[in-house]
Amino acid sequence: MSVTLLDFARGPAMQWALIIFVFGMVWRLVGVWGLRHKADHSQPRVTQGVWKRGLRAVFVRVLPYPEFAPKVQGQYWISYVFHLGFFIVLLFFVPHILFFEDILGFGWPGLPNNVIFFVGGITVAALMVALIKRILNPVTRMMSNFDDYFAWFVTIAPVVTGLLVNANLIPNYELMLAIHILSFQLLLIYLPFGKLMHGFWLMVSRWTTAVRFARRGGLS
Amino acid sequence: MKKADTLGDELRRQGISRRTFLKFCAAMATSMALPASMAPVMADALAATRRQSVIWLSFQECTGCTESILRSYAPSIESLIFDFISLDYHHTLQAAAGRAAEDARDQAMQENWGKYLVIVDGSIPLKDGGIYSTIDGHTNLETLETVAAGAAALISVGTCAAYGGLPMARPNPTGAVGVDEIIKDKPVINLPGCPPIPEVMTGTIASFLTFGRLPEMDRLGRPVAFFGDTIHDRCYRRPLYERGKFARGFDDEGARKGWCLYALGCKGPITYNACATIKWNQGQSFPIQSGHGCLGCSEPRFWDKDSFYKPLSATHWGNAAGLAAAAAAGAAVGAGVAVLSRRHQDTIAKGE
Amino acid sequence: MSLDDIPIQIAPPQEGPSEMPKALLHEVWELLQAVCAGRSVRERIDLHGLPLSPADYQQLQQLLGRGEVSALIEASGRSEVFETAVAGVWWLRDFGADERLVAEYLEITALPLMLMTHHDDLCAAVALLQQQLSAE
Repeated sequence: MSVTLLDFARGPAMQWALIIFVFGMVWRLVGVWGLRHKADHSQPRVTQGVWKRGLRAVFVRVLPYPEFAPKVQGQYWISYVFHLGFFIVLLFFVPHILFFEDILGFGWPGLPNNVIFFVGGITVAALMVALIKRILNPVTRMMSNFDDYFAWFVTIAPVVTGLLVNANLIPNYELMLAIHILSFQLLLIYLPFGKLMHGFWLMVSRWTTAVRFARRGGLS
Repeated sequence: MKKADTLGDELRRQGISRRTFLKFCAAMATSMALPASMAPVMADALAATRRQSVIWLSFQECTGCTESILRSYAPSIESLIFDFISLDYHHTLQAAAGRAAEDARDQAMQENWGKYLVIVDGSIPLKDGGIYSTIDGHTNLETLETVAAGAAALISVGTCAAYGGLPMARPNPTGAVGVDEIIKDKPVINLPGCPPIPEVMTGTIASFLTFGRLPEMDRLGRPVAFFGDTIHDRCYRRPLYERGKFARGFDDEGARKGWCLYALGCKGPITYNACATIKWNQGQSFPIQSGHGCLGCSEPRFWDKDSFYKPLSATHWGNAAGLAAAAAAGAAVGAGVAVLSRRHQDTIAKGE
Repeated sequence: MSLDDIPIQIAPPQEGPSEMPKALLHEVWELLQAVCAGRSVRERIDLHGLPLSPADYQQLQQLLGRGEVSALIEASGRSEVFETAVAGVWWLRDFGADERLVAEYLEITALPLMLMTHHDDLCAAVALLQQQLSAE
């Protein structure tokens, strides 16, 4: 009897996905932080407490800049919805908690499945809207490359397959579950090497940019 | 020569009327989810058949499957199956022993060549010429091939006969395999389970007697009527899974309140069997109802797959040392890349 | 820990009946119509395999009611038959010799098969009786 796809997904595939994820993450983090900082030859206008400006930016940029709000707030909302939705589903579905508990050695309370499915559905919808907006807007369409679309794909894939596993639409549950796990592993493997790395760089770049601007007397 | 009696004639002499056939078929239709209106047709068909010759071969097995079918709790409707068949050879159950027993089998094969039904429990060892299990000087492989040659169909009873089962568990010292790995030219149906549910065995045999062929099978050769749904889909604790109510220990509050056993390693979601509907011991209970998760005993390689107590969503992710090594390697590559980049910047700066 | 430490859970009161009994009644009506029009002689609806809650079951019994005929059959265990208040709709329960319910169904017909003597049994009785007569 051959090894099933589910056995593969839960075994070797998971091992390699995690190894590549950890390897790639540390590589990118060390590699970027190890780069020489760009020298700023301008006369510093602010010398004291630029770090406070950095910290402020991390929080202030949570909301759109008021001047631009009418134009971009829709995008903000959609992004918040699918980001939050994704993490609620990832972190509060009990089977997922059991997955983390097995690795971390501790768990946390979960949410009922129907809440998870509802949130998952909204997440998929928000991701679809985000994609449509990206394609319809000529500017974002021009700016987008393979990385943007693939990042979108590896994000939506685990959510869609996860919903399918539980929707019982596919009679072969273990096959669907295997595909779901493999799709998550694709996300893990791709994360360090594409734009999804923003998950780790976001706060760092807000800080860095704000500090640089502050030095020059700019606001952030 | 006198025309052979039908099953209906034969049983009537024992005082069993056609009403019993009707009842048996009504019960069978219910358990196999066949349309209720088919039961009378099936009863007539069954009564018109000849008594089916059955040869039961036991290979690398524990006799648990035989125990199970015998516990189709006589006297019950299902146990009538023993009145419908002529069990011409069965190591454990037959009165004859030694040469006489083997002769009985040869005789049954000769008289019913091409028509008899072969039931196999236990796996077949192939390693080292199959010497690890022999009967009457013949390896199980030889016996199976000889007997299967004249069979109308074969029924693999239990996970061992169906998929190799426990004898095939790592490191599989005897090179055990299931029946359908060897017999390719005859219809073979798998009734896995450790052991299989008695009604699944009697229902499948009865279905063969009635329709003259094996019932519809899934991709693992199991009858869809009994293995069409997962334990999880039919589990009475399913609503608790949906509500996120999970027992986290065998004696915690959740366990006492009968919550879902998913977190305790229940394999119900990936196990196809009828335990949750037909249940065991006269419909009394089944493992989950008794407080233990499903082991997945009717699935191939269930013994090697996993810890019985590891949740399905937990994985074989490796270990912390492996990830630490990956992190170290990542740090080394990252640092190397940073150094190269700085050197490159220096080269450019000098060139100016 | 003793058995007394295990809290006894009182099952929550059963919810009311679902739509199932009404749906079944519709099916019964259709089959009864077919038998009435001579398109069919006998139809059956399996009840054992249906996910009927106790409340559903009770309501179905109330809706169909009890008619004039009821009978007990002893054939490899007990079987119960009664005609419901809807003429031509019979309710049958088959038990094994171990008293376990093995089948339960509605039969829509003039006379359920379980009450009829099968023609083969009848003919076998001819021979049997003849034997008895000639032995005297």
